[in-house]
Amino acid sequence: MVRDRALRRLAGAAALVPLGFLAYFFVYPVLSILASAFFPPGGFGLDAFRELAARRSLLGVAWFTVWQAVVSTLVTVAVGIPGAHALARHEFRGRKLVRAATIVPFVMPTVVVGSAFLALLGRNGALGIDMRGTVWLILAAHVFYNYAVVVRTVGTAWERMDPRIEEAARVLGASPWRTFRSVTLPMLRPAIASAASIVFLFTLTSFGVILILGNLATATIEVEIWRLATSLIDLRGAAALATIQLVAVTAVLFAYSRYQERRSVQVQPAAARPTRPATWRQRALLAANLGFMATLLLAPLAVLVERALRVDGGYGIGNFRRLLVDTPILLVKPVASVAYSLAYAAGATVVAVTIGLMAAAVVARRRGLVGRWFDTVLMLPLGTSAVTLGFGFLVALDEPVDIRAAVWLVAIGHALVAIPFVVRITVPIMRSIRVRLREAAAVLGASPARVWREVDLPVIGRAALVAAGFSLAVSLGEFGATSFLARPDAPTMPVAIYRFLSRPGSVNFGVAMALSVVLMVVTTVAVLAVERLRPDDTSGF
Amino acid sequence: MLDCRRLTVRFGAKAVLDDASIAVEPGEVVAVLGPSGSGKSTLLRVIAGLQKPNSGAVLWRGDDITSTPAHERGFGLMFQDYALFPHRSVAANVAFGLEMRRVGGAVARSRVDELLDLVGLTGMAGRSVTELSGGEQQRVALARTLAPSPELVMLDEPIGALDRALRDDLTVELAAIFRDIEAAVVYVTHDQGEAFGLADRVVVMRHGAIVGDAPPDELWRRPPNEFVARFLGMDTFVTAVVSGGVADLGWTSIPMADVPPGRNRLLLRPEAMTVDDAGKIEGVVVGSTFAAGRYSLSVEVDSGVRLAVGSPRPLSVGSLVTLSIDPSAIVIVPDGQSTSSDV
Repeated sequence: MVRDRALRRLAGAAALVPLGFLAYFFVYPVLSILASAFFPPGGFGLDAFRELAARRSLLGVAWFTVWQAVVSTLVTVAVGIPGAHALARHEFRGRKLVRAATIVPFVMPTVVVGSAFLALLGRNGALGIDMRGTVWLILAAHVFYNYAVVVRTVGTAWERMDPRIEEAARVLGASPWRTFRSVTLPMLRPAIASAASIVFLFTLTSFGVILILGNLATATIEVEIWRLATSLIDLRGAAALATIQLVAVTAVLFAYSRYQERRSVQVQPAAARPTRPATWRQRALLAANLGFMATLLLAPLAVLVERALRVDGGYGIGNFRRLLVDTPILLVKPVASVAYSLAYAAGATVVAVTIGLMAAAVVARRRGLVGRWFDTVLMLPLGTSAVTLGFGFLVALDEPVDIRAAVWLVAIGHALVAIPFVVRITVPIMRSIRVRLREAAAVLGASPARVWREVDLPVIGRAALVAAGFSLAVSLGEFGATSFLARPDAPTMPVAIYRFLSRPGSVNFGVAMALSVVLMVVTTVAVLAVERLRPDDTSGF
Repeated sequence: MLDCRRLTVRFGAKAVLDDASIAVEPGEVVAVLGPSGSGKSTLLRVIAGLQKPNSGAVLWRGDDITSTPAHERGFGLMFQDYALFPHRSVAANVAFGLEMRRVGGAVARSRVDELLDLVGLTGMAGRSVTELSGGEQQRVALARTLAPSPELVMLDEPIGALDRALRDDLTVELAAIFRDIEAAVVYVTHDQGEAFGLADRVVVMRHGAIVGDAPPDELWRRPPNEFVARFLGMDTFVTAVVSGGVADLGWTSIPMADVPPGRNRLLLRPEAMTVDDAGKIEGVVVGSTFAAGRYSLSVEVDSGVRLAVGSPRPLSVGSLVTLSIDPSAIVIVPDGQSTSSDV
């Protein structure tokens, strides 16, 4: 009993660490933004918002932000559903590989996605059309980036759908198309809605892709916050805009979680086994699907590699050589950004996994009101855009101690972005530890500590590995917060790439492409490692 | 009316349906009986149009419908585990087949009510199917299958997932419903009690092939082979040498007129042996179990020969008994394809 109480106290302490971390590095900066938006020197006032509203261009930005997010979401869902069907219902050679490959674009750093689409459809792009600044280029990049979310989320639901329910509809007289419309689609609706809200959220707060591919007419609120804060040094305006975005995103998240709650009542029956396509029509459909997938997922990245290898009058490794020499654009050699990125990623991973696992342990054990409340708090950073986080650090962390120039702050920022993902990934794994197993071990004579070591630890260890891989990928690609936090003498790869891309000249473009390829390779290795470690029973993305 | 000719379905090298032929007449209730994995469900899927056979044909009223898609066949199929539409209410599940036939409005509503009455779910129309018990889901599935009045109704282990008491009740109800509807019924089960209680004819399957096809009483009285006999729970087989109308079992002789001379494999049905003080066969009780109000004894009558004998009273292991034998309950079982080893 005494030991039990001690354990419980220990668990209570474990909950305090993530709470303290979030309070200082998340809640405090966000509150500081709100304070500087609502409390100009001399007391409360809405002047900042009035000034914003007076600027007609900002209304345009808000309008563009919303409609590009809506269209991006609709297009991604429309092209993702056939892909989900192909992977969920058809057996073919290399299915597992294709399934693993679909996740790659999603974890590709946004800056790499931007670079790839510049290589494809930018100035001197591979397709010979310059589409920079058009919404089409942004839509294409968003579809590429978020395709995996739809394929994964909807595909998992599709795999779990009992095929006999569709067969029941067929026998009752529904044609294949009618069956899809009246039975399959309604049953997939929760998964589709879930995927759509995630895509909507990502595209609503899209930053890196738009900063690289867009212009003043095609800018999102996220980009505008960044521009106000860094180029125009209008901190109050930026704070007011960040506040508006915060409210909008929180509303979307709230609606989403309400929907999730209602949906979780449904119990999914037995899983289907994918079958080989039988008729020529199924085969043609599968081939078309895989062809589309290959084009969408491979073409931009392949072109990126091609552009990176292109030098004056042919191909070579000249662009990669330039990574090793000094440049006026950075204070350090470009290759140094690789080392900084890896160092930040290592630090961010340690912090995110430690704090994320502590938090996940609390959420997984407590199912009541406390657990749900804690869960919601942990998800908040997900709803706060990365730019807002970085901006918040800048506004808030000069007091009580000025740590804004600390090198490690970048790692903290990345960890903050990664923690919600870590919790999301590990809570289901931790919940999968069956109470029965613990009881069985206890009955067989294992002490509580021994039970934890024999039953919980192996599972948690695997969860930690998966979470670590994911944190690495998040940190390597993070750009929004980093653009505020990285010191000029210690840039990350995405920051360095953006510097090169924002300067004219084919030499700078070539270096940016080469560095993008390096970043792509490093991230892919991290993600594929995760994919190998991932236990089959966890779902989603 | 339904005529399946030499159906074969292969999954890879394995034949899950092996040259199976079966015919069903209007109004007939046919039970397909067999252990799990014997191809029963596959047979239904082929008839329903959900599975294409590698060879063979399905004929309906003389027309070849082998390549007609499932939704154009107009049959009813009730799935194991029911496969209800989780996003539709009870009434909307039952109405689905009517919608597909463009029956709507008041006509559809009254038909749905009629069926909910039939299966004992009056007043449940608005309920969500996810909140129903197993027995209630089973009833919704049955109502949904019957709603469009299909001329052929197929049921795949419809009550297999329910507990014993509920199953017995539902078997009686189903028998009544089958009598009322005019459709032909194909009923798949692995439970001989269900099959015998419901069917006009029982088809026994094994390894994808049909190994027995007869009315229940005939199947019971004259199992066509050792597999069917053992699957029906009859497992007392003896070898006899017959000559001059007498079968010599080694430990006793029985007069049997219509048995060909030579070595024969005989099945002693459970009712063949009775404990009888005036009996001439002596044995030792080596086992005794109690079930359904009767004792079932295992009696050794010769070294290595043990017989199952019913007894209304308990007898302790080791006691001596005398038995009498009823020759009319002894059946010759052709040796054929089936051996006891792979049951």
